[in-house]
Amino acid sequence: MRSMLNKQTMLIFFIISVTFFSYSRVHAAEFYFGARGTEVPIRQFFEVGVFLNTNDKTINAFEGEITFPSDMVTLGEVRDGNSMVSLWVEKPHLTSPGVVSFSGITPGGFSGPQGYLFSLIFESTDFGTFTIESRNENVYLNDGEGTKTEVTRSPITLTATLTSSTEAIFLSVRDTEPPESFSVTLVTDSHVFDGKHTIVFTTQDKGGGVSGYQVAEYHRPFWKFSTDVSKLSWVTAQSPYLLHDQKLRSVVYVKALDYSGNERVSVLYPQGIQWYEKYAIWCILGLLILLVSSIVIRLYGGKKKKY
Amino acid sequence: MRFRFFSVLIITLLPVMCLAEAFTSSNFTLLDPVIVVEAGRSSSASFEYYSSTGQTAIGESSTGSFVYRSGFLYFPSITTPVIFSNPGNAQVILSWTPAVADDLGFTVAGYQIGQSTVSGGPYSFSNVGLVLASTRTGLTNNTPYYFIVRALDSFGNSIATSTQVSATPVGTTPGGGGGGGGGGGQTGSTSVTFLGRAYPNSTVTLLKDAQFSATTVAGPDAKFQITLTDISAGSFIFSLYSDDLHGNRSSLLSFPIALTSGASATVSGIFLSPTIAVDKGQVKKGETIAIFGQSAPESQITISVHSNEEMFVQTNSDEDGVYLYNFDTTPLEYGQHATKSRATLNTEVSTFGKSVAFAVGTETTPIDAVCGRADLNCDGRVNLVDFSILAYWYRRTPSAAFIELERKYLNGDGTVTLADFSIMAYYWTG
Repeated sequence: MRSMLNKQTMLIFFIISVTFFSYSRVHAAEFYFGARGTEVPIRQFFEVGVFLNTNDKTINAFEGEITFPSDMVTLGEVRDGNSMVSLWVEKPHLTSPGVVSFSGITPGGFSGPQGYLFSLIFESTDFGTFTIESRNENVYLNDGEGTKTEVTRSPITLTATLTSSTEAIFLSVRDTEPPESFSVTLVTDSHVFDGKHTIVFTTQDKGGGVSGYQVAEYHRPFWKFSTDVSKLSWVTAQSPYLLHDQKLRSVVYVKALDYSGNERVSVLYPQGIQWYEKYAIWCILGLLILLVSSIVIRLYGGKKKKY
Repeated sequence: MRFRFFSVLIITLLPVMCLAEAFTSSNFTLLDPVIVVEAGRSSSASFEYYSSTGQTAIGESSTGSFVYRSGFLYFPSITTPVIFSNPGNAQVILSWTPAVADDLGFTVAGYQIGQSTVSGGPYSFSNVGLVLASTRTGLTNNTPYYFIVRALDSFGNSIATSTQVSATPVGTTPGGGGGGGGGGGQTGSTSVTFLGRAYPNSTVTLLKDAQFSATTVAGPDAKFQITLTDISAGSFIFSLYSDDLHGNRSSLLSFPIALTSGASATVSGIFLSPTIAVDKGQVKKGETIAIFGQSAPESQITISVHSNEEMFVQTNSDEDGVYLYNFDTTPLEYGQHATKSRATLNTEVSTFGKSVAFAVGTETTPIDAVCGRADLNCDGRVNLVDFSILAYWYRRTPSAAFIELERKYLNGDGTVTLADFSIMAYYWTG
């Protein structure tokens, strides 16, 4: 299992270390791309990594858009496993044809020439040369003041051909490792959903990345001792998530899924259950009843009075 | 580059002090020249120019009323790298954080790796260029190796040296068959150990991808060690911070690490920047403001007071790592200022820590007891909860109450932008 993941990790390393980069050495932070060559196979999936070279600066927040010709390539998916981004403000996603938007932060900052952000998995649909580039980029220094730093861009130009090497084809590496374990936190703050009970959560996946989250709230009857998680009704969710059960009597399950279908479930136990829903109360009551009964029986019911 | 800088310094500053006369010709003007010893000579068909190359001495002049410190090397201006080793089969992958030089003085032009099979050296050095990672190959499995990283200036001089990190390459033993299998370092659990300095008896917190991961207490010598076991292979951003005895928190020290499956990796040379606090929110011009905090014991503390011109002062931490400097605000202008500090212990130099603000005014006022910056729910931590509160308002029209919060604890422009998230990332505690 670990070796599978290792392959996934090595894939990222391979992209970082071996492949064709389109970046140049300048002194501003620089968005650039990595691919396995300048030629990509027609009607096959190929991967383009999006990278940030901080050029000796320590940065902690970044946003931008990646553009590509939607008439020549189709975006299959976005993978962010092993990304330097710890928290996405806006996970990379298609906002309009040929435009992927993203924004995220790295608490504590990052400095280095090969800051891996995410990968775009494309399928080429037409022959010819095309360019993938960034725009509307903003990069902020890790200085506590929210200071923007200068940004340069290095587009990548690729050509879709029939003769591209097979190495350029994107192969999804088998990943059997679930996302990292995580916790679910209850938030009741007047600034979020008007002070209603909300949960927050996040995790990472070191394979292909987290594809999404699902939430299930289940108010378990107190006479039931267990819950069949597979029978819960899950809804797609994102953090922060407004709870339906504002009385907090439900068990809240949060499921993180990766691109290979692996999942990790984290649970928030009910905060507002009634006294009669607590097993401990019933156990104590039962014991008390037994105790009282035994005393009564001992005192009055154990022997017949002799007259 | 340093020579050029000092040449410029001598040519520009010394003559001004000497107020000599100018020499001119139809082709050039040389203002305020001085007579120099051991002069060098440059000439062309139309001019001759004599000069010397020198270096401003590091030193201190003082009387009862002032201290004058000179020399660019007086205050060490480059941080030492944090080094990470990840052993493999007959190889060790090394990576390190960049040695960060201040604006004046050093420029890092490359790195050099020292390798030895004896702890403490002697090391055999090899240049690896201006990179932050290198794979040392051809090593003997099951033999411990010791590495250091040196930062070099453009002349090849070593200007910063990391602490030593050790790693033992281990071959992959074929597993399975015959019931014998297994073994070998690459088939065990993946682990990573963090070694470094914080403050005496302080609590050190480790974050993994910005989320709380582990905590430990540093020893009386400020040294700490944290080991994480059974973690996934992959790329992580690990961050560390510590709380001092007054509850003040250091800035976050982060480094990216790529862990391979089954490896026992080590991160060495972590030196958390000092904590810092001031005793007044506003100080009357001419009075002193106490700048204090904690670092490793017996460290040299360099304090920067940043206003229109950055000023540096130095003091030492005591055996408990505590430092205090009463800064005279006479030279400061009215208005907002900020101060930050860093520590030097032997050859180790920390980064500058977080900065704290104070004002110089016409009267002295205490510090407002408010929540920390970016701590939106005021629980003493900056974590996913604060992030979620901020993220809730991203691309929404903020409420009046939230605008007030944003003005108070974030960048104060009344809207939620990535600049606010950047401030939050800086003050993150997990």
